[in-house]
Amino acid sequence: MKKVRNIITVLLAVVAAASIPYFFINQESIISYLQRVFPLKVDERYTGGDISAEFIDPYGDDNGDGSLSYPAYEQWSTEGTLDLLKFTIHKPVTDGKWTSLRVFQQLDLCLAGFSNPLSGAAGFSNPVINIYIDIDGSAGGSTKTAKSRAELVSFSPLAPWDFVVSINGFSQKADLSSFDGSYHSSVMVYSSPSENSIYIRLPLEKNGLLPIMDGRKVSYYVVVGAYSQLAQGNFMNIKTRGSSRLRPRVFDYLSPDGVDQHKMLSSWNETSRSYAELKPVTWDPAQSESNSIANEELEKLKNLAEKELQSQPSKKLGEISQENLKGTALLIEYFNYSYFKEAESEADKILSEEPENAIALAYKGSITAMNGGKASSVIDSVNLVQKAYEIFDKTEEVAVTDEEKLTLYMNRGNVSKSIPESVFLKSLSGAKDFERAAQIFQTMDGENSSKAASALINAGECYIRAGKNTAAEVCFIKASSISSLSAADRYKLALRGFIQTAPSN
Amino acid sequence: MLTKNKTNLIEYIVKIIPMAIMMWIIYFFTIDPHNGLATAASWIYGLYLCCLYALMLFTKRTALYRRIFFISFALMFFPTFIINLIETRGRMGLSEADIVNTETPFCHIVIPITVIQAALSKTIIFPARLSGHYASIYSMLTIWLATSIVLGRGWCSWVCFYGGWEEGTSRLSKKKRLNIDKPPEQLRTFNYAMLLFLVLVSGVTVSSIYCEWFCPFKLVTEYSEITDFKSYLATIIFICAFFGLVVVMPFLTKKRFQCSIFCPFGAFQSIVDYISIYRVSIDTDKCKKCGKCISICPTLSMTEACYKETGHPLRSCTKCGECIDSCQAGAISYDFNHRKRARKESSNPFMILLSPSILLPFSAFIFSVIISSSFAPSTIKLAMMALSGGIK
Repeated sequence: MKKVRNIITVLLAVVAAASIPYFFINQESIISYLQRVFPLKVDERYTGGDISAEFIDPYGDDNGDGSLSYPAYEQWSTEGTLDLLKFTIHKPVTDGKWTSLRVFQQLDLCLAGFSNPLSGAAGFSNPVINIYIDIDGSAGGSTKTAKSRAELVSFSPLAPWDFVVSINGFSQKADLSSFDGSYHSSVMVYSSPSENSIYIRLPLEKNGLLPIMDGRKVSYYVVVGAYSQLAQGNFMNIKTRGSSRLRPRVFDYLSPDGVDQHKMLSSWNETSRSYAELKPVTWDPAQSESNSIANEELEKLKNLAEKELQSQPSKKLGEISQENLKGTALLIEYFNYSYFKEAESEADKILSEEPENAIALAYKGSITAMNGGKASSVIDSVNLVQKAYEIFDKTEEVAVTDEEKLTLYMNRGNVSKSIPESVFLKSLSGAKDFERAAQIFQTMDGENSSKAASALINAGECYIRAGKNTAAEVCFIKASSISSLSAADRYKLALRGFIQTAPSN
Repeated sequence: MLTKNKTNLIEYIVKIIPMAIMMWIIYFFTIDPHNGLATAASWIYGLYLCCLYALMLFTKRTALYRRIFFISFALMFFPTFIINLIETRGRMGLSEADIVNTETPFCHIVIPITVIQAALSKTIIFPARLSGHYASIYSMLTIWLATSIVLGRGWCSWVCFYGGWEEGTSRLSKKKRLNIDKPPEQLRTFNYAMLLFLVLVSGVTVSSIYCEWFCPFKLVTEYSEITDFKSYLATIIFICAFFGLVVVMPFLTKKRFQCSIFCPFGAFQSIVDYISIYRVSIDTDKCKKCGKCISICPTLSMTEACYKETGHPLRSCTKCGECIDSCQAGAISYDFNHRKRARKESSNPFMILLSPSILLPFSAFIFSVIISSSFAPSTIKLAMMALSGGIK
């Protein structure tokens, strides 16, 4: 008995020693398994509270009433810096930790683009954002903007605002004031450039915002303008030829469901000299509905995705050979129909004649990484993946045209997405590759917009692997705003809650 | 029967097997094969690790070479860690924005303070990322669990990236200026009291009190930005704790003072040690009761009762091997846990591979290699760049 126990102990020790490297190699899978069986979350007193509502705003609607475009200066070259994608309301926190506020409510603003060309203290410099809050319905408040002739809009008399938070990137503190000027305070502004997000925490203790704690209905108007230090309320003056003096200085506005932003921001009246009237988004905890997609809709989308997969054409090797394709076209055809051995020899053939052929190099990189996956030893595997990235680096040096760059980004992105993150740490660079690819696809016509959506979804999945959930959401929102989605992509987005219904036809 | 010389020769040859495996692991986890200066740095570090393990294995002076590794690891960890922080959030200081963004690395010392809360409510009372970050919660928890099963409290001498500081400062002086070899029981068990206090207070306040108020290593990792009196006071405590517990006391006592008296994670690992595979054993018959092990033990884990009665050190033993190296009677050795009597070394030179004295340093060094390889080569690279004038 004692001998058996000793043998078991020795065996256990040997197995443990042998398992350590495999543990580290497979740590990512172990973590994802653990996350499923033992899901943890960071206490909401640190993170800003559980989410009580999320409002998604369409991607690409940062043109105000439809006629605005960003200033032409270089500082405005980053796309989407005025494009609000998501507004998140957290549940109030009553015992904040590691923060100067004990009782607060966190609001998150997620933008499509993020940049800080003018070195704003809060980490961004292009947008100016006003959040108007109505906590008592039509009982009291104002329908005019906080600063006259700033945004050039008015607010619904059914929900006149009581408090406004004015945020700009040049101060780490936003102004919080009441409609009648009786209360004025500052609110900390935090930003996360890697997540395209701005966070604010409203102090609830010492002002009239305390009723938010009751769980009552609250309405929000979120307006985004272009920052200008000298302009009224910091909302940049918009001057276009023949433009009305009543045109709102608002590039993006969080419009409620069923309301057309362009229509609403164009609703000013020259005759009565009245500004465009905005409607708020409203969060009513008593009537909170699940935002998740219905099971039958999801099932429908799944079936459509499966049908799409089954209808994918397949070709036999002989058929491809008979097509009289040559060079990179033949290589791509082999690769697309999963004849990787043939694709590799074709790539080698092209590269022996043209060592700097970017397309052949990009595919060669992918195939090398795939060979890494099939290698008999782990060390060979790692070496082959490293070699694949060397080939990709070379491709980057020689890729000039959009097609070449696209091929590189898609190939490298796919490799980054499929290799173990804990060993190679490539998810983040993979996400960037897919985003670049999506940008190129979007500049092309026709079917390419659905490819852009696929690339964005892949970028989002890479961001999730890298732990950047908000950045992933930005990609998913961008993808869901594309109309020509494939069934598979629609299903993927529905699973994540970014699409609510299956297409009717 | 084999002659002694022949046995030794076979033993040397047999030891080539773990050496070869270790070289393979070092190559796999350390070498960055195609990246210019980083490749050179990784090769330097890889060779350094190979040499250390070879010396550990063939000279049987495990403690000495482990110590060299451990001190160098601690010194190499911080520059890269701080640069990582600066790259991620632009500064070393921890601001409220970083907390909102959960950009705070999850350190292993937080584990005992958060793990009970996590088990009960599935929430972590620390603002770190759950996954995807280089020091995320799940990543650190899985590493801790794996290490604890194999090494138990051995973490503190083979894996901890802070311990090397004390190990280093405790070796600066040749003689003890303050003798605490036989401390009062209250001092020896103070870190358990500290652990209990921190777990209770953290549970009640839902906050990682140790990180907020007591951590001596804030000074060399990420200090909180001083914004009010509270943060000012905390910073004073951090500075005092670092110099008092990590520099002055180890220098005076030649003991790892913070690890053995103060660190709640150390106390926690002592409890977790029950599930680990290895421990240190004392052959009470062979022992000459000279008491050298008490004097040399850096974590106050040896008492007279250990070598007279129990036959093993206290649970606070970090398996550093100092007592093994120093015991002239050869009475102390690594052993498997829960064995009642000290294990007799096999006379068969082939069986040596399965002995704890080979298996423990082998397993522990794998953890050391993998964890340190994420940081040390980058620091060597930085040093190389600095020497060549590449850093401005």
